Amino acid sequence: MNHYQKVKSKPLIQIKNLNVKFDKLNVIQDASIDFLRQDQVALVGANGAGKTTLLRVILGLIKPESGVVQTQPRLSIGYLPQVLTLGDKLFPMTVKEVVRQGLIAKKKFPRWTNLHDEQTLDSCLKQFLIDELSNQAFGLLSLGQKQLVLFARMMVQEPDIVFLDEPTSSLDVSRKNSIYDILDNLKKKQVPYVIITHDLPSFSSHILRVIYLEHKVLFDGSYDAFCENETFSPFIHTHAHGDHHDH
Amino acid sequence: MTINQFFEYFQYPFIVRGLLIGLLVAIIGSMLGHFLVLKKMSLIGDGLAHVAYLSVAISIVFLSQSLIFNLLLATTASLTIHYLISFNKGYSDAIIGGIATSAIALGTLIITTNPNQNVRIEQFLFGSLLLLRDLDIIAVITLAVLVVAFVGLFFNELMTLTFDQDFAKVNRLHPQRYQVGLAMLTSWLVIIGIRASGSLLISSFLIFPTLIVMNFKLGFVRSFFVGILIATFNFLIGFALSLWFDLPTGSTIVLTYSVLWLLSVSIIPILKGTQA
Repeated sequence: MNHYQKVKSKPLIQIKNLNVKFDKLNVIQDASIDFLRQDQVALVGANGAGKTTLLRVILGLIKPESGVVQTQPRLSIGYLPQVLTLGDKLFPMTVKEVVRQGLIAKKKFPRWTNLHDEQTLDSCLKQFLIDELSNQAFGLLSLGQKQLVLFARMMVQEPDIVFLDEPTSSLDVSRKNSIYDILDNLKKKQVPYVIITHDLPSFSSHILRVIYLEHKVLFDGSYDAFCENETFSPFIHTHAHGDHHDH
Repeated sequence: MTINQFFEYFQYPFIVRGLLIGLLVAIIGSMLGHFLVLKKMSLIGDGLAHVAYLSVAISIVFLSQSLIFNLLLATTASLTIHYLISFNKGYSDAIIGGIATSAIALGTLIITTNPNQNVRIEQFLFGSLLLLRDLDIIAVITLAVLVVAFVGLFFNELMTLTFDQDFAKVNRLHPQRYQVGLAMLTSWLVIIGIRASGSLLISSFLIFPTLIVMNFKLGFVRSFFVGILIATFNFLIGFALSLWFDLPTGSTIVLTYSVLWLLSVSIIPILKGTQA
């Protein structure tokens, strides 16, 4: 991360005049957003407002119609996918093998892991308290455990910025605490994060900045300013309990 | 049959050729099949096997069984199938089904409307040891070297894209490249293996080892190696049974796979039951 001390003031990711179309539907219109070194962002908006699309453009999974996404050179982007999309029950991947992918992703050809990598891997498994699960099948874990394993995979990559896609959507209320632990962990390591959610109140104590997307960026400012803005008050209140219904 | 009579079979070069080629095809099949099955692309092997039937039919009738032509046609087919799948993600099984049935129909049409040649369709549907030539040995050994090199160098990339394609793409692991590599090597395996095991049976070489080993929950890497062991064991057993009882080799090997699969599905819950 020393690399960035020289260019500290520059945004980590700079999005300029982004447009994304699916067929003739404008999913994202003229969005310009900077993600900064100290950011703790919630990216909010209704379903179909373009949140996940924006994330996929940033991650390089979708090509935009026009506009640019500039990232600092050699920026490592961490990504916590929605848990439900991964790991069939029969898929023969162990917890350790899943986390090892984080190290594999960092390496150059040939991407073989060495003894030092295996030590890093073991200490990472210990750090996230999943070392006892390390030889278990990933597909048989609970959703909360799966999320923790994917988080460990992401953190072993030492990301410079992290995107979390609907991190609470598949978890019940008691398990949401595991997400808060994850966010506290990121804060402690001073890793900026962007949470994609439609359940803003759940993250009120972990958020400094809110970006509200409704195809266009309708709001980009501090959490407090967002709460005080009357335009968005229905969003804050009506979505407080709406998290379980959306899948 | 006595043991001595059994071993006398191995004096015939075509039996030894069949053993060597079949064993290598089974092993290569389990190596490539591991990724194809777990990526839910195993139908690709099936589709390619049917396209291979078409290409063999064309080459018999027009080109006196040119291996190069077959490899070229299969490569084109695998790239086309791959392109269609990535273009139209959700319906890849139907697309492959459409291509496969068209290929079978066209291949059969070509063979049956060609009265000058004495070619039996069954040979290419079920395979025959009598069809194997020395050229096939060279081809299968070359392919084995290529596959071991590909999988050995890129095992971690292949594992990552199999589990989580988005993760692989975000981290610039170029999953598309390796998927194309997998599809091409699979198409070559199908072309080279079609004489030994036939187009209807070759996809079992790709599918069964992983299907069996999945039930043991061994982890990705260990499953891969145990899959190779299963493929080897199964081929030798099936080959020996077919000689001993004078059964068609291809179908016998597939049926021994089916038996192993049934055993793995039924025995594991029983073992777990006794533990609990």
